[in-house]
Amino acid sequence: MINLFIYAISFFIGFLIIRSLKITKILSMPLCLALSIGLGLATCAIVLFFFLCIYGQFHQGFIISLNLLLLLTLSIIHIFYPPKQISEVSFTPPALIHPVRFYMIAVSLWIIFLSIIAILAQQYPYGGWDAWGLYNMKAKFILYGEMFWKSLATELHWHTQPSYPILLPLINSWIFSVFQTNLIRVASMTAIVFCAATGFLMYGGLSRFIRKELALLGSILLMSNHWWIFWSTTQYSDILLGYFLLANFILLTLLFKEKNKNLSFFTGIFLGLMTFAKNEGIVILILLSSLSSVYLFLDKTLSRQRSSQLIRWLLGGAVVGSVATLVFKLTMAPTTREVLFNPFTHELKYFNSSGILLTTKFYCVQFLSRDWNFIWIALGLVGILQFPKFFQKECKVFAIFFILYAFILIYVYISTAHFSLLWRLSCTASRIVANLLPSLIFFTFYTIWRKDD
Amino acid sequence: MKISNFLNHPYLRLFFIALFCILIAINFFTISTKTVEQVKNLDKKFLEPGFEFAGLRKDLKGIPKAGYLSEKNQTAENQDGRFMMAQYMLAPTVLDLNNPNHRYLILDCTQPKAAIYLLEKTNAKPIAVTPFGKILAERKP
Repeated sequence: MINLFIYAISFFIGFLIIRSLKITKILSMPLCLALSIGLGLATCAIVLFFFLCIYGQFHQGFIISLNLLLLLTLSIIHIFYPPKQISEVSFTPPALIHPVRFYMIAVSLWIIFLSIIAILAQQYPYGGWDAWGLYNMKAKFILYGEMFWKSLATELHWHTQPSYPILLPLINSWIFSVFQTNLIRVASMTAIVFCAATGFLMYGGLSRFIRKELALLGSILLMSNHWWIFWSTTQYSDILLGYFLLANFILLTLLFKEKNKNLSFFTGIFLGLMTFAKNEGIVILILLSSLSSVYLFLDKTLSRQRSSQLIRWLLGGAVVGSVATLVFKLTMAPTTREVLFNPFTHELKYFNSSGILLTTKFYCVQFLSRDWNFIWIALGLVGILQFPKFFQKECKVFAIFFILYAFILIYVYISTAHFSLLWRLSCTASRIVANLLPSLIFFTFYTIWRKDD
Repeated sequence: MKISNFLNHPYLRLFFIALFCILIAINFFTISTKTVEQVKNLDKKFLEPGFEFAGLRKDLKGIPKAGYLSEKNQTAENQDGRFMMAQYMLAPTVLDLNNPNHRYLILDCTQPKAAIYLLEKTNAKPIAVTPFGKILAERKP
């Protein structure tokens, strides 16, 4: 519990960064709070990463001083030069219930679900297979590897995935660095924090566009799904990807409405940060930034000059957000074995119709699985009944994203060269589905209840 | 009826709200059962992955790399996870799978005979053995 103090430091760093960009009013307070924790933890982790790159090894005193210095600098800037928040905000729907009563209900529900999440997180105190085998093991390299810390990417056997981005081990190492109590508890706590933050982010994001009661419904729908809680609290990096993907959906939707350059830059940062969570984040970055740029470019309400400016800020933010990934990928990590960029270099067993059939069948079984409590069937039903709405205005960016992402996933699966496809599907399908669930719920709720401009 | 009228029909929206409320009710039922189950198991002790190798940690301190040898299958699909467990427990020492050319070797064998065979083959002698039969060996120069 003492580590909550360190999460709070990261939270304030994230909050002050958002305030420095003058977008707290555009975001609204709940959304701002939900984004602060992810941004703050990622910032502290990236500070640790660059410190390791420059100094060569972990040093408790320097790491704490650097992050405190960052917090202090941001605080001083805010005290002496308070950034004037942009206040031209589009319509936010009012609540049907009295605000006090509504927040009492909402807070009670969140406390209940947070307690449930904390209890269920104890199912596997050491985390799932890849959690201890990859992420928690790599945290040990960061903390105790001294000058050999880079071995986590340069020397490890491919069974332990040296090409995987290291945001999660860095976050856990940062939290652990201050009190140095128990690394396993820190990993579990980080999973709980991100799981709860994703639920709250769902509320914060939806309440910016639709009625608060419906936003709360979306948030509770996600936070009450036991299978999503299971995959989110087993200490995998998928919860980070799920959180950042949801954040990007919300921020891009806001950007398409507000058309603000600071928000564009901020959205870009979040797109970039996703790449340091998982390799899939790189694919998502490319897809979302390209689709959004095309959408902004073709937006008739914007002049060519204005749309180019927004695209530039978006891509600039993406570069800033993915600097750590670039350094990691270009200087340390080996090429990933999971993706074949040139399928003609190998003899591929599954690169045919039966491979495609097996993959789609496996995913259909996953969607129909009783573990998910029919949520995929319900989302599918909404998809059928509201099909045309999913391709209206800004919604089409996300609909096309899901379609392209599905094609890419199928390609990655059928180009499997080093393992059995069935084994690979059984290891990854549930987790991929779990990290897409928050953004799909957001997208569904937003599409059903969005107000036509 | 026009398609846009159907898509935004209040009854359809009400149907979606009802659908999601039913889902939450089902979720709540499942989650309560799981939580009660978990509360009953809170005292349950879990063994840390790779605990069998914990006894070798002290002797490997400061050694950046060691070989890992086993008589078992170590392909991605068919492995029993011992290598990953050993790597987790012995980090930050990097374990080099199936490479006998390092000065220090971790021998993970189910049968003593297999361990003796590997020791002879690699010209190494054991310097630490855990109660679970995991061996840290040093190759003779």
